Amino acid sequence: MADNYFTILGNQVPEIWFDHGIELGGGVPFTVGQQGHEHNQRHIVSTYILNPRPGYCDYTTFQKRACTYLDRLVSIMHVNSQLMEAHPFVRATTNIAQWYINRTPCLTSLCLLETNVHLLGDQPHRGHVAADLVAREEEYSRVMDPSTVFNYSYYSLSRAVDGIPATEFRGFFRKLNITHV
Amino acid sequence: MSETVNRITSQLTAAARRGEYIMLDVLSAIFPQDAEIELVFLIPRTSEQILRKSVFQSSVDGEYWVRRSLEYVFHT
Repeated sequence: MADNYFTILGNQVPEIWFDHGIELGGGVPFTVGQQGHEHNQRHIVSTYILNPRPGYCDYTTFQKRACTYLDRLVSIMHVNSQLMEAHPFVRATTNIAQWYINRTPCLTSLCLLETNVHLLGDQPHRGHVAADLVAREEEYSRVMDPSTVFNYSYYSLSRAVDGIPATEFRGFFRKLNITHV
Repeated sequence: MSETVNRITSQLTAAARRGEYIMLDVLSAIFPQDAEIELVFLIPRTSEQILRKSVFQSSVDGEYWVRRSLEYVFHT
């Protein structure tokens, strides 16, 4: 959650690293499963919810989330560029080419594999307001090709450098040989 | 000198697009400085044109890149 939260606040695309299933710190990721997903939603989505603690604060206090904060920061910076110095952690412009860079460490030697090959296809729609982030994510998930998801999960970039000749990395167009392992 | 640094298994597809790249960043020191690194691509015949039209470059500092040529293509 924390990674997503601060990445969104910085108006940046999170770096995606593929690993080899080796956990660095142990344990289960914080946002795993339905409970983790809902936890993420609460912190990221720009919904307005009532303060749940009666008596602690008045009921009319609303909590704004990461997307709302980001939209506000970016809109302020467009109005007054000097404010960019006040919020150096927010990038008002984004290099689209960096959106598709994926990385993985090699397993059997000291090296790093990096590629900008699109792994999940083209995004069908790109919005302008961060508050729409979750809605666009759901829309994207609906139209995504199942074989693309399969390759992304089982023939990920880390497969290219796992030291096992039988496995391989596949981009998102490998529909024909999908049963070939 | 020829040394296998790492084996990369990857499928180049006929859907490759201009500007796409795969970069291998070797983090360990390579001695001597004029050591050769050989990359062998095992690809389906349908991807051969992609390989022939690809640009191969190497760099020791990440800034100055030397263009390399594709020397041999073998068919099975």
